[in-house]
Amino acid sequence: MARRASSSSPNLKVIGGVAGLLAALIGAYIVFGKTQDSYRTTSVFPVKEYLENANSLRGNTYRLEAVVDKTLEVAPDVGRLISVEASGDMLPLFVPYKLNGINIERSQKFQFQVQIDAKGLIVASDIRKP
Amino acid sequence: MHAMKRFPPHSRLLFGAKLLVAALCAALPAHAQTPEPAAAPPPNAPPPPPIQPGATTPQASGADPASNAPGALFDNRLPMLDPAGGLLRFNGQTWDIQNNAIFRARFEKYLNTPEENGEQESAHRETLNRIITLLDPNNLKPQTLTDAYRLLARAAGYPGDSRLSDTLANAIYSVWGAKRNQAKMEEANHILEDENARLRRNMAVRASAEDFQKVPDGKVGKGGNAPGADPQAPPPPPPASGAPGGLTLSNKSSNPASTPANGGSGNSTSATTAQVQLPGGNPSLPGASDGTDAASKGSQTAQSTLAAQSANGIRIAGYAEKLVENSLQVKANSLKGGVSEMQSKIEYQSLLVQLFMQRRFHHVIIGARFYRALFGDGDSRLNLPESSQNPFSKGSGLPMTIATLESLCNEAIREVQTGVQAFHKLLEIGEIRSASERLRDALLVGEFLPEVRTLPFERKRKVLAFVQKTNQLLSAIEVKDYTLASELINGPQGLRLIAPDFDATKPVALIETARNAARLLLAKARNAAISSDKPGFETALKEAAAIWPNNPELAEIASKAFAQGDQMAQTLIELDQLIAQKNLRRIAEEAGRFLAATQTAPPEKQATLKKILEDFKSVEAALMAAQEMDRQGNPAGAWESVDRTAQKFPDDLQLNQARALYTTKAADFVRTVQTAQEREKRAELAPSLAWYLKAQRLYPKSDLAEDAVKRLKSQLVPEAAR
Repeated sequence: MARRASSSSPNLKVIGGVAGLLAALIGAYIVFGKTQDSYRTTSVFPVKEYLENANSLRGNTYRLEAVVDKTLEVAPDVGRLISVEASGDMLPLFVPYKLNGINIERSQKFQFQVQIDAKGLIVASDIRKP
Repeated sequence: MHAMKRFPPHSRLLFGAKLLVAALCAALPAHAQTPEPAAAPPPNAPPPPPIQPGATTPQASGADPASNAPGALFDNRLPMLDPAGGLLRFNGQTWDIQNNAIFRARFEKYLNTPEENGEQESAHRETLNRIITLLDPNNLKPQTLTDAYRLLARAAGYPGDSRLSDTLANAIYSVWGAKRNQAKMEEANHILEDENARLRRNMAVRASAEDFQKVPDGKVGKGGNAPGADPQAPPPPPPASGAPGGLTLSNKSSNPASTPANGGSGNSTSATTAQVQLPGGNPSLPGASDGTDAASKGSQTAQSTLAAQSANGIRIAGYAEKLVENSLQVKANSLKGGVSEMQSKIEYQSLLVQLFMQRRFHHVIIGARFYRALFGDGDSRLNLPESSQNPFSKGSGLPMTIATLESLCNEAIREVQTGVQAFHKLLEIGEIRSASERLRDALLVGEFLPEVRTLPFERKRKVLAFVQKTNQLLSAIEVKDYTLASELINGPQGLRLIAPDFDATKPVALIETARNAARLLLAKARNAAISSDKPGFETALKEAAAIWPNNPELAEIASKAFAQGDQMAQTLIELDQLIAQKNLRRIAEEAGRFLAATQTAPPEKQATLKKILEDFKSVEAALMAAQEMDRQGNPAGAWESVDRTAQKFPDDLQLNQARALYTTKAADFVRTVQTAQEREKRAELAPSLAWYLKAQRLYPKSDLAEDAVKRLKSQLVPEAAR
């Protein structure tokens, strides 16, 4: 009878140990990976809410991931106004001159850290590739 | 009237023109119908003023001063007739006897008057004929004269006589009164002559007494008469004319002019009396020559008989004075008798002329025959002014006498009888026009003759319709009612039908001329209307109306013009209402009608209509574009097209319907755009831009979205515009 208990395969223990290790690694990645993202603590831009009532969002900072549609207006030394598509809706986005270091081209997907100014305009404070 | 003169003269007056002058004078109203009977002079009326030698006509009392104008015809009371033109000139006016309303109305009145065929008329006619027969010069006796005079009173009882017989009787009575007065004057003269003879005898006796006294042997001298001698002894002859101190007055002298030349009876008497000298002078009185001789012989007697001789001379002077007075009274009586006879003669002649003018020819004949009996001196010459006799003397070439009047009356009666006979004959053969003209001529001349008065009413009625229609035709032409005139000539009961002998040449020519001229002017008016020549249209229409006021074509065109004017006014009112309702579609659908109506409207209204039509074109273009885009599966584009136009014309029904339709079909786009517009209104520029961008994504060719994006981005990034 003892024999039957000693008869379980020692490979099962190895396999269990490896699986646990993997799970620990994955959890660590998840936890430590997000912690290192700068937009990690920024709220996602509420597109629908903005379209309905932009005034309630004034002064807030959001994280927006959108695809560039086209450049609407360019003001030298000031910035440029572009249109982006986010969540199926079109949004005007002002990119200040300080962010000119990033090439913004049509159909490219970017992550924007944005703020809502007094006019209700979405102003990018940071841009990065996702 | 000028139109009527184009008519052919209906009548040829066969009678003498001068006779008609007088006859037509009486045709004037209120003169010949009921003349007032001549009032008999009152018995105590003052005697008429004496007629100066050489005077022919006394001045009528109260006569018009203008009647004394030289050449005045019947003292301007007698009208003149131009038979060729049928014109009568009277009292400064010209009358057309053929067309004048007075003559036409008089004729028509006669035709409508029943004939005089009663017993009274017959009796009156017989009475007049009886009087004329009694006054026949071949059988005239004092008794027939009296009988005729009595019959005048009977004739005056007939109303149609107008008591003219009574007037004539009064005139005859006046003549008789003058005659009786003259007879009394002659009787008085006989008495005075007898008295003169007695005075001459007494004077002769006195003169003889002087002779007895101066003869010593007591013998009676030659030619002397003792007292109580024969009274029939002829008086001594008057002294030779031109003897010194001689008196020219003689009882044998019949020269009436000598008396007025001596300054009247009263003065002559006193003057002659003053010339009678006492014995010892040189008396030269006629019939007193014996006394003068005795006085001259007495001067040779002894101084002892001087006193007796003076007394005898005074008696002789008394006889001479009475003798002169009686002689003057005789002359005065003779003169009065002559004046009275002349006055009555003139009055009687005036009455006859008046009756002649009144066309009372039977009364003139009766009066003329009485005249011959009343004035048997053989002088039948009319004592009228020479100018008044011209119409008679120039026409007939006869001296103006009572016989002239009588012959003219007989001629007039015969003329009327012939005219009436012609009337009957023409009526029988159906020539109504000629019959009516003959009857009219007979009426003008012999209105009061039995042949005219007794004409049967049925026969007069036969020409009455023709006369009425001709009068109506004249009136229609006078007022230029050529429609009626044409109907009167050519109608079912027209003049041509009822009177085949009616000559319609001139009236028809007149009607056709007027009709053609009016048609030409109406055609001109139509052309002017087509070319929008309003002044020309009005002028042509006015001229056409002046030619033929009642022209049916003129009325038709005028009614059309009025209707058009009314329709245009209504169209303009409708246009104003549609503009107020902003119903441009209705205006555009009837653009032609409104454009025509605004041709005469103010320029502002024309500009308004022009803008409305241009706007409507844009609406139509938008609708058509929307339909096409919808057909190609682009409802958003269709909606945008309609919506953009509807912003300009929000009240257009078609646009609103189309917009509602495409709103349903492009609901997302419409909602997106409307949301964007709403945000923009709330000054939420960025969200509004977001919505416009979304709309642009839904309909990339949207002009509305593109414009909005441009507008908003420039506001959001104003630095870019700098």
